Amino acid sequence: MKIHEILLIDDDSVTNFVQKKVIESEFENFSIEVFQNGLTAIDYIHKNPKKSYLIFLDINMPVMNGWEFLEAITNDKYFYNLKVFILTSSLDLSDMRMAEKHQLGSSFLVKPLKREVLKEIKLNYGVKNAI
Amino acid sequence: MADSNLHDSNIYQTAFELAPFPMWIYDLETLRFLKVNNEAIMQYGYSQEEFFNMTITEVRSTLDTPDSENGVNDSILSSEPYEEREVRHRKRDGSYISARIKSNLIEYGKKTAKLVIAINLNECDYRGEQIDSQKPYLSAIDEINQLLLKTDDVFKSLHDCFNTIGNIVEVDCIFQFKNNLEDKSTSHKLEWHKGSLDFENYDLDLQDIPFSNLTNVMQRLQNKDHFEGAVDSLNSPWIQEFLENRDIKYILLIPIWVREEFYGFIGFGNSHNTKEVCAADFQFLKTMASHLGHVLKRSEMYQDLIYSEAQFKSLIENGKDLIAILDSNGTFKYVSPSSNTILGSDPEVYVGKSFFDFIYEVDVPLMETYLSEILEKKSISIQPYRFPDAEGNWRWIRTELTNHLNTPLIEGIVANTVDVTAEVEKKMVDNLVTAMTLAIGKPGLLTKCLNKGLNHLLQISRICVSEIWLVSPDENRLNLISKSSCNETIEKFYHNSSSLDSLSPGEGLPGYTWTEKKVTVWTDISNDRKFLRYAAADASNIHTAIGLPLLYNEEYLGCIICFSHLREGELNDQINILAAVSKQIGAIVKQKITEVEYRNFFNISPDPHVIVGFDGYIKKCNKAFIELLEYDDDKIKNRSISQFIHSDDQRTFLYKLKKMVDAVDDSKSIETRFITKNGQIKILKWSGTSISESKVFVAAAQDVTEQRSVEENLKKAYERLRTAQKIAKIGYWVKEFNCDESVWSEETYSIYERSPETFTPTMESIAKAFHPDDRYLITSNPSENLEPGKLRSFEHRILTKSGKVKWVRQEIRMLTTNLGEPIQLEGTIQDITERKKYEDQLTISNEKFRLAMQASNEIIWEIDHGKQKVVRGKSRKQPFRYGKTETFSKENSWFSKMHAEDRDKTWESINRAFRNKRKKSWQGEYRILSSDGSEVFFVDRCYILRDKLGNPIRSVGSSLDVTDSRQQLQRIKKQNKNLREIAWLQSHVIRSPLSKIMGLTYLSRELNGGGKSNDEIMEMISEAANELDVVIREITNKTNTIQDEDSRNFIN
Repeated sequence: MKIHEILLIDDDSVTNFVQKKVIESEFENFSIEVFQNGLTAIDYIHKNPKKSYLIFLDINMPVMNGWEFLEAITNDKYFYNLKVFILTSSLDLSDMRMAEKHQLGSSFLVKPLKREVLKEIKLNYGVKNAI
Repeated sequence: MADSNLHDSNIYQTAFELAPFPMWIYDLETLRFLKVNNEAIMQYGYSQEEFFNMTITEVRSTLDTPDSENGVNDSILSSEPYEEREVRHRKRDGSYISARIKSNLIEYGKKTAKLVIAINLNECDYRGEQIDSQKPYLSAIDEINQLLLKTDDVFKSLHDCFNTIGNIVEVDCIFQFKNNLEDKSTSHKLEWHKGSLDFENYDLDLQDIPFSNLTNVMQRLQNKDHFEGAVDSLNSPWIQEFLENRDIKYILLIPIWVREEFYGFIGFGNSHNTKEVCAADFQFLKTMASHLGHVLKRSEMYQDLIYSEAQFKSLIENGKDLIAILDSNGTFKYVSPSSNTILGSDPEVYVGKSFFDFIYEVDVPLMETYLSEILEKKSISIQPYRFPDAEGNWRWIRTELTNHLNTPLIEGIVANTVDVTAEVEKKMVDNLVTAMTLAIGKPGLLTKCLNKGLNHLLQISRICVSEIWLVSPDENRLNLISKSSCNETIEKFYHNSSSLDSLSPGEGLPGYTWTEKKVTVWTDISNDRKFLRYAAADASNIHTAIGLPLLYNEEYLGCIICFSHLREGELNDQINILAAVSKQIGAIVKQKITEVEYRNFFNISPDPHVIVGFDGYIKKCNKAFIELLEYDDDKIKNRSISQFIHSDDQRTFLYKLKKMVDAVDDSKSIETRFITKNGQIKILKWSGTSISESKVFVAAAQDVTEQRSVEENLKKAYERLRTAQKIAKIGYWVKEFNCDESVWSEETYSIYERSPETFTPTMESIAKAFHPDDRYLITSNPSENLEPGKLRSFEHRILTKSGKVKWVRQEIRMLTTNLGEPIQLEGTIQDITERKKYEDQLTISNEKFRLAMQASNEIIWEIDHGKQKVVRGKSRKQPFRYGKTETFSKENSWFSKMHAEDRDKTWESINRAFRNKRKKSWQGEYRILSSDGSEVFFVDRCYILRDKLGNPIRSVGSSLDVTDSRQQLQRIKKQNKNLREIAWLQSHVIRSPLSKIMGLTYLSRELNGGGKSNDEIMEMISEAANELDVVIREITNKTNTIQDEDSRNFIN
């Protein structure tokens, strides 16, 4: 899978800082964009529809939480090339089930994000830099 | 001339050939035979060819050679034309015969020959001896002939003959048996013994011996052969015994045949000699046997003749036939002495008088005709006519006339007469009885039929009136039933005696015959006061009354009275006939009376009656039968009875009918189903009897259709009762008050678990069967505890045979007489053990239920849909007041208190469930406003019981007050919410700062801080830690809140 950009959607800056560093350590030379909520991320994607994105999405966010983001993006899923990973601190089983049921939710990752997990993603999905 | 010579030559030839002595011609020169006759061939044995090939010397005996040579030489040399000498000749078989030859010289052809006649001297000698030996026999025969011809005493002569025979042939015993060829038997007749003076008496034991007892002997005798042999060689024990008793050892039996008839046999026995009889003796005996047979036969015939003559004489003098000889004018020339016995008059009374002077006047013309007829014919038979006897009574006689006018010594008409009075009178009686029987026996009214019968009596010429009296049904009176007269006499007679038509026993002549039961003749009745109608008799010139009782098996039925103008003396023959007739018609009169009685009963009987032939066809039926079957009369008579019978019963009916006909089945009745015209079934019970003479079966039936139906219903009801008793375990018993033993039904025994075979229900045994604690119930006097006619119940325990305890319920009633005296106790007993058990269980169950209800919040309710009523139980809490029993409606005490929001929908919901035929239950929730205005939550459930059509019958439900539980539920919900919030907090909020801390430490350790310094990292970690702390506090607060709430709830 060729990725143009990695999107990091989380409302907590500390979390974004930590996760960005970890992602950078594993996905070198990948463009990483950070968004505070789902709405800004959707706007970005709408504006850059031809790119292929690898998205790490938090659930609890203001304005548009992770579920709302997924809902909004699902309607247009055939227009965009997206791979979404839920990345949350929640251990709630209902969140996990919801993620499984969702069309776009590939996996449910629990914070903090670690390099081993990223390695696995790279291997399983054959992620390559499209640029 | 030539013909004459030829004729003579033929004669001589014939004489030569047929001469009784051997003759031949031989050539004098060659000595060869030239011609021989048949006798020579026969006696000498040579054939003609052999003779022609022989010389005379070859025939001559070699012993006679000297003579022979001389004979031959003499013959050649002798110039005498005739020679005679004795010679011996050799026959062909080598034997010799002595012969006297007589020869003559003849010219035979052109040769000189000798004609020789040879007379056999052997035969002559033998015959001479024979003649000499026959002389004693011939002498004996002569003597015997003399004896038989000249004697008067046949048997004496026979004895002397036997004597002579016995002496000649030297036998010790001679016996004679005579045959009966019809019976094929033989009987001992004569027996002579040497030295006896007379015949032995014939043996009674030896009479009519069957031929089969002497098979081998008789066979030979029947074949005209004799039997000879030792006595012990005979194959017949009886004749062996017969002979051995007479010391006979050897026997010769010779059959006696007379005119080709096997007359018998004669036996000659020897006691000292066992050798065969010689031929001469045998021949003599055979001749004698034949001779004696003829003599015996003749003697027999003579005896028969003497006997016949005596018989004839006896017949003539004492017989039933009267023989008379009449001249051509009918005058008696001779009358046999039998006129004394037959007519009671001497012959002299009739001789010289005319036959017609005596005959009954009415018969004279016919007799004259017969007399004229016999003059032209050989014989005629005259039908019976009347002739007076010495007492003036008319006798019926029958005569056979035979014309012997031209027979010498008779010269008259022979009349053989027989008294046939009895026969004629019998015939008259029979005819009269037959006529009367037919007349009386015809279908019709009794009086008419009897009248017709009486009419026949009047045909007897001297009776002018006849009447019949019959005994009344009550046997108290004799009633005049019918009368008949040949002229107007009847009117005068009955006109003067019309009131006398019913008499008592002994009254008048009819009454007299009733008491005396015999034929009674009253004469001069016009002057006899005993005869109640004397005046009427006088007016009608009736002199004699003859009373004839009618009897049937000793039963007096009535009488016939005949009246005549004549006196008794002139009526004797008529009286005899009438008496004989009256004896025989009792039966038909009885039958007629019975028939009339029966016909009346038959026709008016309300029960069906039918007469069925042996062929199964209905001959007669009464109205009741016709009405029963609802057919018309003509559709029933002469139809087969089986066509009216139910098809399932036809076979049985006909089978039983046949059995009754054959008198095999003595069962009293047959029950059969009949089908009426309308298809209804009628059950008829038939009883009847067969009359084989008429070949009918007379039957009366009873319509038992209803009875059978009732019986059937009763039977079914009884069965149902039995079954019901069995199912319900109810037994019945009854006890006579003064009797110790009760009578139990089958179920009663079953309840007590006793058997009728081994248990007798006496008071004692029943008391023992009662539980000891309950025995007081049976030991007390029942009349003290029972009110007459009223039922009393007792429940008590009994002990079965095995000791098991059972509970029973007895209902007892005492029956009394009208005076109140107890006569009987009766009761029922029911096994209620199970019921008791269920009752106990039910009691316990009810108690449990009651306690359970008390402990629960549920209100049990029930709806009777038929009555639309609802019944509710009590509630432990009773949050509000409601009706226990009220109408099931939206306005009742329950529904009216329902929360407005819930009322309509709940009403609609429950009724929808009731309307839905498939719904078996209903459930609903609603709120009721309690008296204090608070809401009471109810969960209501019910089960719906429906009928076959799905309509609700009963609904049973319970209403559960769930207010408390609902409140509890609210609290629980709230708590759960708190808990979920806590969990969420734990899951999301706590974890968030924690994951930050974990991420920062990871960044620091693995990625060298990610471009941030340690302090910066520590700062971020500290912020996250503080955030964590805040969350934990929040959680703690929430937990504390929940605990407080729980405490409050618990207190409440």
